Amino acid sequence: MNRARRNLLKGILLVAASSLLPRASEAVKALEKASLGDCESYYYEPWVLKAKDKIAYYQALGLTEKVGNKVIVKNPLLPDKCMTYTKPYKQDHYELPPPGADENYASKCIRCSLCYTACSNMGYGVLRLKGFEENPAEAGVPVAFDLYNHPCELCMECVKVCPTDALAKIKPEEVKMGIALIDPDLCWAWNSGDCESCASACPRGAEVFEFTYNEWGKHTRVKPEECNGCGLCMRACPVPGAAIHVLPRDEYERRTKNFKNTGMTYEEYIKLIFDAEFNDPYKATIRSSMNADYLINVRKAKRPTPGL
Amino acid sequence: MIEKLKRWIRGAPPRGKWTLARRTLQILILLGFALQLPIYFYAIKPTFHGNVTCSMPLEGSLASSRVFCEIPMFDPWAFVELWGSAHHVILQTVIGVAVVVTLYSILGRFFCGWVCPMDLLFSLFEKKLSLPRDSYHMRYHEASTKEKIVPIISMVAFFLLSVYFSIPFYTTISPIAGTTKFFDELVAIAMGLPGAALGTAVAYGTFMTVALIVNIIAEKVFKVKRFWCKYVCPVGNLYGFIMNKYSPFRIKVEDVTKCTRCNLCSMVCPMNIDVYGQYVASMRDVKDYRCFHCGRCVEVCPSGVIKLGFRFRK
Repeated sequence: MNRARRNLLKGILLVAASSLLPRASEAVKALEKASLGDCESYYYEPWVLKAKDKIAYYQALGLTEKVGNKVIVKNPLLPDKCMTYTKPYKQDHYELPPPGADENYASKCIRCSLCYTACSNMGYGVLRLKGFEENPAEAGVPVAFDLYNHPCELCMECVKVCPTDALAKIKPEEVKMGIALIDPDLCWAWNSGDCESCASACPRGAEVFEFTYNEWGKHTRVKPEECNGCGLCMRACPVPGAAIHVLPRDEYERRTKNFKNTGMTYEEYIKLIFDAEFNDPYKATIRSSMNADYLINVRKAKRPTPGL
Repeated sequence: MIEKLKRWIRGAPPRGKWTLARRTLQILILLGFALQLPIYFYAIKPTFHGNVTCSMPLEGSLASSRVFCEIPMFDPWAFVELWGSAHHVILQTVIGVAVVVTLYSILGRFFCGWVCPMDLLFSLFEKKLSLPRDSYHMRYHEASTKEKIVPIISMVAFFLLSVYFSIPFYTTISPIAGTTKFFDELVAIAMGLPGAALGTAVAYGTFMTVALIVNIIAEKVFKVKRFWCKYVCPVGNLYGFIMNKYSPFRIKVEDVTKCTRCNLCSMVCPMNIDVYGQYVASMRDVKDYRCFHCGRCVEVCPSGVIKLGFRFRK
């Protein structure tokens, strides 16, 4: 009896210790993260230099900064900030409302799963029914869960079968699932590339995208009021983890207001790049070659075939 | 062994044609909803690379469905709750509601006994025969006014909760639609569909299991038979209170002179209706709000006094 009790106590202690272990490692990770300071936030990652020749190269250019015991590249256009890149879509994804849904579509949805069936039967698999994860009151409400791997083709079949007004009967052009945001430091077209994969994948093409041509690439921009947020551009992007991310509207506004934690809006940041390209070609060349280095050697992106 | 299993599934013999018929219908409907997804992936996609807008005779769930790709169906209680949660009547649902209301105006509270998958689950665990020593809520009795008010209170409560949280409350937590969606989701997970998630299946499984456990605890601990169907579920009670009053499909009392007053019909009733004392003795058809036309009393009657069928008079 005594031995059994002792064994039981031992078991309880073991289970408690094993449950504490991963938490301890998490805490260590959090400490490591904190050492990178402002540069690493939850949706941007800095470029940590590891190879010695790379460190020497960027040191010669005067673009390195030591944070803790790690060497980070600075932004050539903003000398007091570090360069950050949008994280791969896997670490930076959001659940988006399905086509035709407005803000409070959960109050009109009766959780009948007709849209989910229609989407699966069409072979797209965009929609998923929510469980208890975020809000238990919204269990059974459809969401577009992973537009990177399963983008919406805007067939509008879910809208047609919806028995209530939760998914309003609208045309494919009026769909507002989210807004695509291009990271100009991660995009080929902003860094001496000739890429228009996203624009050619977009079902509405030139209606949504606009271009500025110069020596530093075919600069692509999304018109936020036109974008449907279908996610076809993300799958087409040659950068691993996509340089263009479809975000929910509130998240889009939050990011564009303070783009990359620089205190500038998205428009101002783009204007800064354009200014450098027209007035200071030396800086612009350094910027684009440095980003291309990151794209090729860190993200392992393949250069898109020209004239796509 | 098989005889033992059969007895466990549906109590003491005789197991008549009505029980077999309604179990078949319940299982067919549950299978129809569960297998609404695979057809595309196993039959259509390998043969030609096209998209299908409709694949199965049953699509959706018991909250709202498309039957044979064309006929819309919409749960009337979901319509009521949607009115509360969206703060206005959504007109495009009216056709689906009209189809269901017309159907059950003919068939009465047919839904609970013949369609609802929860009846299938509840009957696995409940006592099949009420005995003289059982408590009041386990035995047959005439529904008192208090007993009739409880489901109405729950209906009002669910409506107010829908207004307060601005979600269709019972439709969200409903084990009826939840069970069909649970099996649908399990099939989808087994097939590895992109949209299938374990979290969704867990949510629906929870709704189903909570109703089942509440019902079992009410019966085994508090001695209240079919607690969920009688007092909680507003879907069935809506049909019971409104449609059962005038529907032509009912338990009809044919020939009272043959009655031997064995009282078996009252004892086997899963909803505790006093079939003999309240209806057969006074030669009235069973129009009780609790009756869901399961036909147990018809099967069990040794002298053929009562029949299940259509009658427009009375």
